Amino acid sequence: MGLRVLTVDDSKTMREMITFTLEGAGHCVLEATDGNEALDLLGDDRVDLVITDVNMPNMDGLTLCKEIRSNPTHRLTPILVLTTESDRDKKEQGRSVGATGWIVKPFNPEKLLQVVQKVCP
Amino acid sequence: MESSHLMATQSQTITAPNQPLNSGDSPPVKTDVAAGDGVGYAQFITFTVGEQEYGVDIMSVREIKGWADTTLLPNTPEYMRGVLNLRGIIVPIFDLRCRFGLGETQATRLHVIVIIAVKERMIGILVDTVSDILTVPTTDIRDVPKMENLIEEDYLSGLVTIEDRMVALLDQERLFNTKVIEDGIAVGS
Amino acid sequence: MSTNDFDLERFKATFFEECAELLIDAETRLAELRHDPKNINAEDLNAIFRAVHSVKGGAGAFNFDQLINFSHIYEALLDKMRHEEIEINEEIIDLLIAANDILTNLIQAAQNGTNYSENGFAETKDKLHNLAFGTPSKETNDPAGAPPENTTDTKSLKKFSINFLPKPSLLQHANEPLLLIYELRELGQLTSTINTDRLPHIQNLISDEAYFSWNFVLLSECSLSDVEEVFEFVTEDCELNISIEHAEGSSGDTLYETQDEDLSLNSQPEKLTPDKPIIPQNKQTLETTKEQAVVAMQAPTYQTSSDPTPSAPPQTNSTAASSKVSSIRVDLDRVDRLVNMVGELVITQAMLRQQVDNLPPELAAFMAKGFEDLGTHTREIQESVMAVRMQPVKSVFARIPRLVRELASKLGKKVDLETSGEDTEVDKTVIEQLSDPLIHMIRNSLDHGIEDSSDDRVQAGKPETAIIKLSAEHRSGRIHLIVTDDGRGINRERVKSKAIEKGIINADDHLNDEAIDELIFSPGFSTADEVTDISGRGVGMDVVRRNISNLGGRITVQSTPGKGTKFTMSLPLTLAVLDGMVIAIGKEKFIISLTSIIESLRPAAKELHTLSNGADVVSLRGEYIRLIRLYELFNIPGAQPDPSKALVVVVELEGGKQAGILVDELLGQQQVVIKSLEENYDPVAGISAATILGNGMVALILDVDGLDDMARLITNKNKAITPERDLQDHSSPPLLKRSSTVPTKHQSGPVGDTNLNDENSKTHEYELLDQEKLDQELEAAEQN
Repeated sequence: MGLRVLTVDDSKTMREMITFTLEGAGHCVLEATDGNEALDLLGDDRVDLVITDVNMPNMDGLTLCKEIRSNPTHRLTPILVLTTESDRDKKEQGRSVGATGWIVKPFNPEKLLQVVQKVCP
Repeated sequence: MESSHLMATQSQTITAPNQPLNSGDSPPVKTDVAAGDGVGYAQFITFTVGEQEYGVDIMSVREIKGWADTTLLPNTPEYMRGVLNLRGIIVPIFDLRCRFGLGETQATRLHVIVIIAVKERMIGILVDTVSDILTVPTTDIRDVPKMENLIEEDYLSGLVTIEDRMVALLDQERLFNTKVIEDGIAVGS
Repeated sequence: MSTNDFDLERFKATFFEECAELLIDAETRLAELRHDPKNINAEDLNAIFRAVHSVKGGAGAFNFDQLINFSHIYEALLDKMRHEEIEINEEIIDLLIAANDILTNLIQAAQNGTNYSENGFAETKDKLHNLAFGTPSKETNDPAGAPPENTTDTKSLKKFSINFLPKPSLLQHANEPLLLIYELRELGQLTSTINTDRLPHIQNLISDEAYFSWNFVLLSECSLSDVEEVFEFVTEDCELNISIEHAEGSSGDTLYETQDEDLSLNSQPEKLTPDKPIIPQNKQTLETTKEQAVVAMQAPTYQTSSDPTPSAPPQTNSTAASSKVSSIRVDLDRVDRLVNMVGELVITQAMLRQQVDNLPPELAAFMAKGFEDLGTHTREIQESVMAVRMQPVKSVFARIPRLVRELASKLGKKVDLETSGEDTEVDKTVIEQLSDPLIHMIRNSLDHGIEDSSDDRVQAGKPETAIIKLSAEHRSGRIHLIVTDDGRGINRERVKSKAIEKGIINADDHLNDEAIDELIFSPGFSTADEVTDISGRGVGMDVVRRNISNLGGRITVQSTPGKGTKFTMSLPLTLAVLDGMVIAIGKEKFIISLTSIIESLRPAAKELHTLSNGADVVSLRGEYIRLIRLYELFNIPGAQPDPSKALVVVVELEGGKQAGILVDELLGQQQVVIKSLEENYDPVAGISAATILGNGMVALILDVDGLDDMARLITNKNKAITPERDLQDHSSPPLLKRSSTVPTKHQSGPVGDTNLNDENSKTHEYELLDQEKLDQELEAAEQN
């Protein structure tokens, strides 16, 4: 059974690549272009995984993490943060707001699936 | 393609009965139905212009409809009878009788337009009546003999004899070839 | 990796498309920053940062190294700026603009698969690097944090001892110890010992608490970093201790020391061989063990709090969710199909409407009302569908600032660009056609319009920096694009002498200012030797005008010496439908595009003249225009041949000339859907396209310029002019222009009442351009 994944990124290229890769692996993907849209989409519906970019207009990925974690429904939903920054800073920031893990860009389909497997039962 | 056609028409003799016509530019010859003995069959829609019966490959026929008034295109050859609105597509109509130099058809409601696909284009040909659907073994398709009085020979891909009728199979690509049409325009203007 | 290359390929188009959008946005925002550097809008900086960030992200996925490298530096600088670590001044913004231009070029290069190496590139990059990192860029090959190089461990079998004690935060971050164990097992042979000492009584169990700890022994050829990577996400959320000892032999038997039989994760080591453990199998294997029961118990425990059935992903809300997305991307083909279908709907509706009149009165009245509503709705649908294809001209405008900057620096001129009306919308078909003429107009203004040096400007009492204004607006159902410069204006003397030199006009022709300005659109006016590096590319303004005219548009120029020049380009809002006038000749109906019609009139007999070569002309308020007898050109029987009993539709031709088309009757205006004739047939002279009328009949749309050409040819033919005098041939030397005789001819011929010295009527003199050709025909005919 595929996972239900929400991917949040302001870059269409990135969204398309993530969606394509995940759908190819049999998952069901929802797309949002920023944090606000992601929260709107999410509401109280359960998803199995959230993959979010950090730098986005309106609501960035870190704020999104915080918001998601503050909702009891999503308290234990794995959240992966997409980041080009491989430095500890961003990862630590992500962690501090409740992210489960991160995916370091550049985007690589195999790596994405690997990480998804790492955080999703 | 051109050369093989010439070879076919220049052969002068009627091809041996069992030898299928192998003319490169004769798309109507298809093996639509494969019989048990390996002989292929081809299907044609046949129609008449005056006394003569003609056929086109059934696969190329898109529609058959009664004659309707067309909009004339200026400075086009006489056999170009204008254009018709076919559900939003502009389709040119050609007068087959006129194309063979037998004068313009005085079209009435009883005349018929056969809409056929020629490569990517859709054209209509104006004929007198549609008579039949013909299924013939491809081996029965004869080469067109070279004859003085047969002016349309260049536009035929083969001949079929059914009982005592002879059906001439049209080579629509040559018949309504753009080059010919362009020449027509040049003359017209 | 190689298997993914193909997959990635398909996203490149999206990436470049997105890049274009991002750059346009960044460009626009930079222009705003540049405008007022003192009042920086933080969101502008953030947006530019995100744009560059996204470019870098995509570039990384596609391995566009140059692009990654540069965008990384650019991004770093922007990041510093938005965190106010760098003071923002004009200089920096100029640098950003330069950086943006380079980024555009790099993307272009990536798209073309080439390497970018323009001079100035390295310099700008160094400057950026200096500001961003405090040092000039010296081969920053690893900007995007390239994946760490594989540690060059020898592939020897190692024994890892791992102590893993999760903290509660591990679970709170939605990490899952079981998954980590699975992952470890993929690395090699794993023995796991679980410590359940901290597990409280079930009543005291807190779902989010982590009660277990593990001791693992992993026998694997992998490196330490591979093992660490397993715990990558949880290093802060656990106590982790990893030690390595190199195994002596390849056999791992001795490593399977069961410390506590009850707690051993798996007592059957052969099931843990590296080639076997695929997760589903493992699950089955684990189910047979006692520990799995414990682990499995733990997993659902915390998940119960959120959802009792986590294994079945709910599908129910996907539609509700997607409905919240505010925009979608639609293939243009689909929209086109919709436009076509709505066109059919409009026609069908009109056809049905006509039938209503044949109904009995009581029924007709009822139906008429219905059709009125239907008509309204149909029109609304048509407008809505057309609106789908409407796009703001912003995308076209956005390319201009950069063009102006580049040209200005190449020419050494100081130029500011002001744009307005970026949000004006036109059909996508028009947008695509807009760019080239616009760029050409801008090039022309910069190259020829603006003074060569600032000194010239200062001497003329103008500010040093020239201004080019670009604006777009809707005006009477068309879009107007206006390019204005405050330069020196058209040098009429030079234009005139050049036109004489090129044989476009005669030396003694008296042209008024407008007519001279118009000369720049004459075919053959700008030729290759004249074309500069800037406005060149071998395309003259005549080609620009022809291209615009092919789209049903017009371009005009107004110029004031010393003050500047203004080009106005007007185009229809769409190329899918056309406002037409239905005309009748004999039994035939034709459509003339309303945009080309100036007026229609019934000339008096005395206003009709025939040149000695047979060409008909009509005098129209003192000017002469060619009369096109359409029935003659098209061999239409039953037409009214006498213009004084028929109507003349005066149309504007390419280049502003006029001609009169003789028709029997005007049947009324109608918006028609343009249908291609060439889809199934060949081009027909004098016909531009076809449409379908309300009665279902096809009607032909006239190509007025084509008709003019035909009329000219026919005149020539009729009078048996020898081919070398074919007036279509512009290259033929103007032998016939014996300037001294021209006035005489005018006096003797029917056009003689055109007073060449008439200075009152500008349009009158302007018509002489066409008159010249009539003269030639006249002469040619007489010489035979």
